[in-house]
Amino acid sequence: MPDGTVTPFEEVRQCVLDRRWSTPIWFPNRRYTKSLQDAMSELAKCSASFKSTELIFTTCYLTIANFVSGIGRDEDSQARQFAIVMTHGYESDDEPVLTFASSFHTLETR
Amino acid sequence: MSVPGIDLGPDTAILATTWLLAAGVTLSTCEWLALRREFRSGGMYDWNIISVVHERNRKSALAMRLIGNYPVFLAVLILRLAAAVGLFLLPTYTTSLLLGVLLVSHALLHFRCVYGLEGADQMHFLVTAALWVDSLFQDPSVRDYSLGFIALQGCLSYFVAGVAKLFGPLWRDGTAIGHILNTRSFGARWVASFFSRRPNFGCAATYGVLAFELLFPLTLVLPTSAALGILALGVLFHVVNAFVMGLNLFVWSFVATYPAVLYLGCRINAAVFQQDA
Repeated sequence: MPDGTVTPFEEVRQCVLDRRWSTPIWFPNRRYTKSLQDAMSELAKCSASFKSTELIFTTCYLTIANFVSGIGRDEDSQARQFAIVMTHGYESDDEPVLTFASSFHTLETR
Repeated sequence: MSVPGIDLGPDTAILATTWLLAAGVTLSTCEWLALRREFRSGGMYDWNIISVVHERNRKSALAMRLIGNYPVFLAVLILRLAAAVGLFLLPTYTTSLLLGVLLVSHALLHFRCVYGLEGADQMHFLVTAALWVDSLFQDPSVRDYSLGFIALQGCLSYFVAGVAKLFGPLWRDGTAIGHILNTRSFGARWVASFFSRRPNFGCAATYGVLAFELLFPLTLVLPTSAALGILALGVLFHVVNAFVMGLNLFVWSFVATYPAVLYLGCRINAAVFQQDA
């Protein structure tokens, strides 16, 4: 925000498959979700082997950053940060684990 | 070559495989077309981002500069859809051309989409390639080799997947299916809850999947009626996966190998019985 405050993280629903009665036959969103998941898996691997200055130019990082920057935002927001968090599934009370946190990236002014 | 009650000659096996492939590719291409906005700037497959990979490779950069263009790639997808539908509708002398279009479009799709492709796409590609070779030569021995390749590819895919699972501790202790269906990527809350309350059911499902994948190649040597039983289990396996895990395209791509598996099994059985006699 312009005053320097950082708003809380919001969970991105597109990472989770949205099932409908038609999904056994027709499921185009599975491609979309899988693409995002593939990029996240690759980013997890790359983050261990790339320097942070190199990491931001990898396809996986740019794909996720591009996706995150396209999500609706507050009029006043100046920059965006994303994080990848691993959960333990539906039937678990364990706390999610942070696997990656990006730097802040300035958003284009509207 | 015939199976009791089923006239499964090589031509029938090729035709059944072609139709199953055409159905799968039609569905897959329609799904890509439904996501067409994602190929534009700002989308999941934004060329400005995907091209980063190809810029490192000068050869693919040249080819992909053209395909990266959104209207051109949209035309490729529409052509792919037309070729897949054409396999049902057009005369057989056009088959090699249509399969050639599918092969090229698959290669372009592979370059254009770095993420989001899956095992079903790989199987579609391999089956298409084998059918294309068959359609080029129109020769009985080439037809046998093409069907043999598809059959062995199908058996190998299951068997390798089964062997890979054997290395996973969760598969060995019988909890893998419960864990997979508990994830938000492949499971659903109701399925996770069901398996959580019935661990024995999850254990049976885990070992059942392992046994099915490891024993699938036996379809090539078992009597035809037993082979048909395993193939029916395979169809059920993929249909359940489509319902529970959302893997709808695997039904078409993997089942497309079944006519060839059945055909090769009949050939092997016939050869063995002939030798015994």
